Amino acid sequence: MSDACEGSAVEVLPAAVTAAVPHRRERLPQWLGLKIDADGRLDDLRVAVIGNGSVGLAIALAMSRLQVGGLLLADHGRFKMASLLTHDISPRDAALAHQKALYAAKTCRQISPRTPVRAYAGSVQSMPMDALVGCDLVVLATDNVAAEVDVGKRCLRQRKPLYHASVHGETLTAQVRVYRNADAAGACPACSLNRAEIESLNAAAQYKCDGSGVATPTGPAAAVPTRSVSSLCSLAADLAVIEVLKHVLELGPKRGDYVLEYAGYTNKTTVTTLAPRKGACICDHDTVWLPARPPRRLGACSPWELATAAGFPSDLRGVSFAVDQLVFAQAGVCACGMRRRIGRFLAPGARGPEDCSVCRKPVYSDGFFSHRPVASEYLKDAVHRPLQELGAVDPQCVLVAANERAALFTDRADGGATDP
Amino acid sequence: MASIFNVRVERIRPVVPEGGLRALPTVELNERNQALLQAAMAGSIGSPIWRARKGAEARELLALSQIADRFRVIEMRMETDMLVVAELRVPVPCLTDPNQPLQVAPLAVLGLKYPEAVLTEALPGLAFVQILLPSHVWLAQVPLDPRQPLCLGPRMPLGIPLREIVILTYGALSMQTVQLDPGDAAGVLNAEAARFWQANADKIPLTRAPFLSAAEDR
Repeated sequence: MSDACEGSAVEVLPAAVTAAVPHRRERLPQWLGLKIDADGRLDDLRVAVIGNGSVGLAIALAMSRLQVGGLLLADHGRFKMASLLTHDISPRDAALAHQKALYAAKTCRQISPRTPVRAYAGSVQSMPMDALVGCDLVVLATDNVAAEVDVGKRCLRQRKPLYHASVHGETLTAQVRVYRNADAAGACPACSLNRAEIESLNAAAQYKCDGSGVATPTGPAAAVPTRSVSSLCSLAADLAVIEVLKHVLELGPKRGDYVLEYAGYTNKTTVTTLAPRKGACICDHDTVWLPARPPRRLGACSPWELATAAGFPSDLRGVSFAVDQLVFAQAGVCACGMRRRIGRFLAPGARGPEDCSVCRKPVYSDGFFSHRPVASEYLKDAVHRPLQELGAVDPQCVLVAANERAALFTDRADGGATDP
Repeated sequence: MASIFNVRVERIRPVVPEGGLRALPTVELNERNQALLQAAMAGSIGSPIWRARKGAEARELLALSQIADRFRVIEMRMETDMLVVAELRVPVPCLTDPNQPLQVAPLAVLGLKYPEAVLTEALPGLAFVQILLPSHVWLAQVPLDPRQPLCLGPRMPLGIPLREIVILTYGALSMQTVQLDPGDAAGVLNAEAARFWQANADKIPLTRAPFLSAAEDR
């Protein structure tokens, strides 16, 4: 994972626990109707758990007890003393205000040292494009609409099943929404947004005044905690894990997109089929990002090479490129106000390689003339030059797209959940 | 025969339809704008939803330029983000030299950027408009930075249409909408300019003309 953006990826070192942890087989039941090798499936299963709070932490811990093949944990938050009321943590952990993702990752490693775990202690929106590459499915447990929309988009593009666990404390309701994301026709979390949720989406975003991106959420919208009791949170987590298990081990009837809901007041559990994609959904359901391996090290490849390797036409008509979080700066401006050609990939607003020939001051990339993604038309002859010569010294991932189809090139064998 | 020097040439001003901005969808694009739209659409790439949205925004913006005397689209590209270079006839305060008096330019050349993220995210007010000309703009919402991004607010509503951005820009540049309090949560990007305008509040706004009124002749 890249450490270029806010909330850099943190590699979790192997736990100091050396005692032999028993294998899951010791407790795994012989499920009724099981037709596949459960052990093998769980060994290969790599899960991303987005949101490691009162629900997500319980999901992460349950996954580590299943000794799954890999875990990616992401959360930008830290524990507070109030977290003690809903999270499975000690008063000491709450007082130390650990980062949730790091704490969850360390605990998961202690429970299952054989599970490679990666933690991303930042906002989900700032995760690299390829963060979910390598994950087989995603479990979402946030109470933040912007994060739900972002994760929904990522899962749709990469056609990864999404399990969204949530609670409604006031009605003692635990809910799991299952989005198969098998094709463009299915629903996504944004399809069911109501007006209030759209408004909360507007209110949730906070930006830095220097234009350098998303600020760490601190406002009232970000401060709203989950109003629930720990038992309801853990119930939602357990329901989500059971649904994941059924999907992975092919247990029970096959379903499309659905909502599983437990209502505490009536003790009723209902399963409702989710309506298909809403016509006016704000998310793009059509574009698919297929994972791809570059012909050689990404930095040594030219945009043209990557596009042709992905099967796009060699004239690159209608093809665009996104390299990590970089923009392609066509032009920049210096202190004297003169615009100069840059023609390189740079961090947004960063200094270009050459200074102004008139005032000798640095030339900075100009927002209007900076593109991400960049169309091949803007790259011109640069499409044949290696990315490292175009300013992307050590790119981690490149998205090559043309209309509904895209190839996500990454050097990492497993962008989501690999062990160092 | 009357001397050609005695002939008074008047600029042909567009006619604002009865419904004002609500009538934008009914405005038929003229030949120039139709050609601009077609050229931009031909190069448009992205998902179907984004291509459709760019097309609709472009059409509306060109229709706006036909009913608004003060707004003209110079260039439009839609490869990835939608990029528009446009001219807006609005008084723009500029301070080239702090020891010289404030100057007011009669128009601004704007770089409008409409990114795909607008579909799913509430973007910051800095994300859309850059003042390409004139330079040295002296407003609290424009930082002392040669790139001159214009801040329209802490965050813009999800999916805000480009026409709204243009109208907000008119309000900000003409100082009909103004935020001069550095202590306000929204903040200012040029505190010195904010102080200047607080001391010269009698000069605000630079024009009271509504967006759809006839633009002042240069």
